Amino acid sequence: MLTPRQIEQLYDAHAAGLFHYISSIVRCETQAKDLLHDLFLKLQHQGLPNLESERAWLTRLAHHLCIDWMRHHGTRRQAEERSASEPRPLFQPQPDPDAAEFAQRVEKALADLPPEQRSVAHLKLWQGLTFEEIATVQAIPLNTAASRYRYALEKLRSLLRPLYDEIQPP
Amino acid sequence: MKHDDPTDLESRLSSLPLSPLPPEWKAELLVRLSQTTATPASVSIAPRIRRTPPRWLAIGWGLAWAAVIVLHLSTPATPDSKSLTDPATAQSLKQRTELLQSLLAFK
Repeated sequence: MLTPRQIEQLYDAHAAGLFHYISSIVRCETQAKDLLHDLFLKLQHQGLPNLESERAWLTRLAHHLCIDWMRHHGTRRQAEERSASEPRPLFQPQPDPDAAEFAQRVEKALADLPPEQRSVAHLKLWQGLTFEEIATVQAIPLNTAASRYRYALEKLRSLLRPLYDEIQPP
Repeated sequence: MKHDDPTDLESRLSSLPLSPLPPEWKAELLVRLSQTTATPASVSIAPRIRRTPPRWLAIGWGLAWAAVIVLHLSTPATPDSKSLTDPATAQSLKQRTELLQSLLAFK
């Protein structure tokens, strides 16, 4: 069993990434927040095993909560359609207008991806997980994780190209 | 062309910082954690645990019991003796008895 202090430390380190991952699946801020809180409440009683990658393990727990939630509340698509609230912005506000525009377009392009590609892209790009870890988290073959990421990246590139070509790399 | 390099796009994307969560969410979680620590029985994830059987099983079980009760009530406790007094049945039995007796006599 973890102490509130340990939970707080885990929250500070991982909550934002986990929330955005959950949100990329359930597409509803309120539900994503509830599931995030459920995760940490569960963690308090379950404890944290001695692991190589704490982040991967927590993400796996979050993924299972999302799957449970979807089993009880219909498919991902239904959840997306039902979601009345706008999801919380994925990225921090950017001071530079070009960067702000880019971030906004990335968020929109991500929303256009199929859910399974979006979630893999999220884990790889912003959670920093390896393909092996993503495969474990989502219980999919390694090749599937890699190909979903490749498709996601190709689609993002094609959606972002007009803007991306205009903006100079930082 | 540099922009076709996946790593370039990947690095641009992954450099975008995720938005932080509102501090009140953390405060809310800490309150819930302290509540569950004080009263472990009232863990908020309890509703997720199914304590009753699934609806389809309950309905199936109920229908099965209803069928058992209906059959029980509609089946007479003693065999129906009416069929034995039926003239056709009695005639048929008589014929069989005679046939049996003739066979035994033949033997």
